[in-house]
Amino acid sequence: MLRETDMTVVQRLGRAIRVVFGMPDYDRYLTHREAAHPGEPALSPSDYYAQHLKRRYESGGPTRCC
Amino acid sequence: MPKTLSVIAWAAVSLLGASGFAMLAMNRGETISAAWMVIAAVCTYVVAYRFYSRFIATRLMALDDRRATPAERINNGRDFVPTHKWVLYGHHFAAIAGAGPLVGPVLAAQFGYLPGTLWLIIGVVFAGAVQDFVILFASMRRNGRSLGQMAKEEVNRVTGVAAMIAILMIMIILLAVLALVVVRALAESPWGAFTLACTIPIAFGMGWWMKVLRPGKTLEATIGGVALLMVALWGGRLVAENPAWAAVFTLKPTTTAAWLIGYGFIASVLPVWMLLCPRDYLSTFLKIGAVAALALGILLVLPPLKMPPVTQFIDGTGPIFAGKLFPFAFITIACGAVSGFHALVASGTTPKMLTRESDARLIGYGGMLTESFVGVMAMTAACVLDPGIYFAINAPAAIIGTNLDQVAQTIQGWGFTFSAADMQALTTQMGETSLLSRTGGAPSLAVGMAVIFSSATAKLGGSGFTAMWYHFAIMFEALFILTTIDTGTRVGRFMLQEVGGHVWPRFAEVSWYPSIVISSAMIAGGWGYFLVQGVLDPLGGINSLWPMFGISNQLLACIALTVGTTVIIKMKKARYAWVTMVPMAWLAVTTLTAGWQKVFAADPKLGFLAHAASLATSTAANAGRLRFNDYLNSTLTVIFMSVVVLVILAAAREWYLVLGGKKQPVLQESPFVQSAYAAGD
Repeated sequence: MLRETDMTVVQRLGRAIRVVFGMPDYDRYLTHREAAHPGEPALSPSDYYAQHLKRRYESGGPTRCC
Repeated sequence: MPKTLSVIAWAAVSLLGASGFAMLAMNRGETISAAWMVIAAVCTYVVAYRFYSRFIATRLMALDDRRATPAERINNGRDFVPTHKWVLYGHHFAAIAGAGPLVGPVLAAQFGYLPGTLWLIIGVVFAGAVQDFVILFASMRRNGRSLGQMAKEEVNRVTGVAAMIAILMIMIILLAVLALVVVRALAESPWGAFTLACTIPIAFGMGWWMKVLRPGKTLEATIGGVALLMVALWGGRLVAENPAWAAVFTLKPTTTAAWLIGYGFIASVLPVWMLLCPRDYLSTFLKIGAVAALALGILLVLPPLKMPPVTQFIDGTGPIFAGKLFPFAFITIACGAVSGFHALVASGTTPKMLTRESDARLIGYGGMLTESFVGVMAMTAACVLDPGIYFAINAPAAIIGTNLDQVAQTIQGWGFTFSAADMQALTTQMGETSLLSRTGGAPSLAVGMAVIFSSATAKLGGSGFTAMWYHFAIMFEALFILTTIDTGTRVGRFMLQEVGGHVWPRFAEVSWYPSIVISSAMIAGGWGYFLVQGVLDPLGGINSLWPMFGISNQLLACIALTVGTTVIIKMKKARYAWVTMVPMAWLAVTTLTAGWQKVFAADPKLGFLAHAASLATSTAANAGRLRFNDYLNSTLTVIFMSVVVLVILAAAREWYLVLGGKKQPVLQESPFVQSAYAAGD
């Protein structure tokens, strides 16, 4: 599990790029699970990615501007 | 900083900006440095951000960091996530930036560099950035509600439905006109067509990597994809130089259009992980990279602008699109100055990720200022070309002719210098066989970018990359336009399924194959019809489709500002309602005037109906089809105009009732919850 303060510059950069591009972030998800629902089982990377795709495209896709 | 020092510093920045404008406006010489454009723009942005956005944030909105944002309250680790403000700024900018702010200014350069640049800079300060900021704020206070939902809840149901219909129709026109830009850039260009074709197998490979091989490893797959794209770009040159392969990838405009329509349909039907999602990442990566590179290139080179400040075409006789400076400069440049589409983004993912209320100022207002700067850069790239060359690339063949001698005669007749030999040399330098009448803005932007980039690489010690830079620019524009097309087709399909579900419930099942195929075909066929209309249009298609796109986009902005005004009035801040009402009124006036002229003007080049009438006695084979298209375009434009008038009237009634005390304003804001972040301050 990674906390913001323990992260290296490269990890922080990776996290920022994922947010900017709207990519899923499995590490951030694990951190959230640990904090919000401790002890409960978390999704596997592959299930997490499938869930991310479902949410991102559930109303067709992200709004793209012209 | 002591107060007097601050006053002196801000006065200096304002004076510097004013001198930038003065230099741009007073220039009567041969050329002027792009530095003045950058200075005028950046100084204005800085002053507007410091003073005007602060006024809106504190007086009008009363942003309150003690009030928890939806991201803090709901924080579900998925869409509602408190995000660092600069990271969110990047996310928001990546979502709002697209082909619009690049193409619009290039087309508007037919009026000279000054009108478009002034509108880009002044428009963003008082209209575009205000719209994005106000909608972001309103959505943030309502748990990230969409524009359509806010229109329904804050104004009334009619407005909500009108906004939905407007969005669907705008989408169709937007996709058609953007696809037309790609057709004009890729047709008869084996290098470009090959590179773009390669993006499809590359996307499949990335999709497979992220889904099957290494699930969720999106970043490494995207980096690999970008690397393969560069290989494809280099491979395109080999294809273009080999006569047999070049013939395979030299496509006619109609063939290119058919491929695009098929592509949009397939992308909408296939599972998203295969094509849509990987292409989305790829194009975002490239978009940010190319915009940053263009900014660096312009700052490094500070190229001279060769376009005059104002051309004779402000009288409405322009070859690229017909119509006078007012109102057509203001609808041709939609996205860089104000764009209704941004209201959809500002009420989409961004409001769910704000950590503090005050962050909305940087992201909403500041994000749009950056978009305007992209527009200024596109204007710069168009104006570094000799005006003669700019018109040779952008004017349709029906106006300038098809061989270099005719083109030279026409353009010299307009009073610009043009040498056929220079044009030929430039074409060869770009690795193409012809650049004449490559309408749509993308090719001339790519030529401008290639000129800037290659003089930047020359400054850094390299040379001979011009053709590579040109095709890099073409690839970057086409790639992210195609991403708008595939996602847009899918979004349109979902909207259509939702609407169709009211008639036939089974149709609304988003994973039922017959429904998927029918609705995707209807959307792809819808924009495909307008695309083919544009491809076959003797005047190049841009003349009719781009103004319709501009009108519809600005009318959506008008609806967004109307919703914003209603929210402001209901917040009992009516004394500040001019902040959104003035730009709303300006947009209503310009777009309704432009719409009226496009339909009813007596000049057949400008008015659809006059054009249809001019064909009444024509015996040409395509006359019937052209007339039908004129009537279709007129009807659509009239529908756009009626929707916006309806929305403004519905909202005005609401304002009258609330302000007159006849109706108790009910604001749909979520209740105040104390923020945990504020305690730490």
